[in-house]
Amino acid sequence: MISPTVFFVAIVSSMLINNVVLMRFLGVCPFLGVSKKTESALGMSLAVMFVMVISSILTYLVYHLVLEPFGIEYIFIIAFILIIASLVQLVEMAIKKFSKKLYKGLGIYLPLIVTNCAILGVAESNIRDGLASEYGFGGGLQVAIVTAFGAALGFALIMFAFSSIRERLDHANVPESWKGVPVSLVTAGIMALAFLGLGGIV
Amino acid sequence: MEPFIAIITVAVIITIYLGTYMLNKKVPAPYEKIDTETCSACTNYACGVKQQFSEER
Repeated sequence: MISPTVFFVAIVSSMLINNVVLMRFLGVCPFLGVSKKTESALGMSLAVMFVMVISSILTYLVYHLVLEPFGIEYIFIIAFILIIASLVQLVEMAIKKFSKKLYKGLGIYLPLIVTNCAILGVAESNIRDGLASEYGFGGGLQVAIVTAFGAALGFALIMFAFSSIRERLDHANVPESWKGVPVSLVTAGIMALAFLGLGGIV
Repeated sequence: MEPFIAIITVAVIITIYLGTYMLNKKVPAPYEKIDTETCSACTNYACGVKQQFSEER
């Protein structure tokens, strides 16, 4: 039985301290590309959350039940990318069917979730951290799910905060040469510095 | 034996991917009249809807 503290530490650590976007610099493409509007940012965060959690479960199972027993761990990146790509196809299908507005808002970034390295990064770190050897197969899976959920929540938090700031910046008196991407990158840098202050809590 | 299992594993996952891809392609993309000149839903230059409209023009 895993202590609830482990889950708490996993979720806080992956959400705030090791935030995928601002601390590990993964998933920066959708972070900058789909953060113009809060609605699109939240839609993207939900899609990423779904793909991240499900892909973490599947990749964990595939790694420990197929790749490791047969000694073919070396193909894990190919296998993980294909699993993530399949999940993205399912998500795209669901969004096409149920939310036309979100489908248009996400645009090219929806299929590009496949290349969102945050998802592959979280799946890979779950394996690299040796959760199965530390907590057992079932326990490791639970911690992997919580870690992936925390990372997705951290991604959603940053997307929401950044899109809100960008919406405000649209109406701010920004110098002409700083408008658009330059001021967005400076804002992202300041946010990353703020998150750096959370390091060492856990 | 190992390389053979690796190839089989990748082949199975590729088959699953192709299955989901085909399913996704069968679902039609939402299409409705939008004013692409004033559309602010997407600022992406590679937006598929915008490209489709520019080709129609």
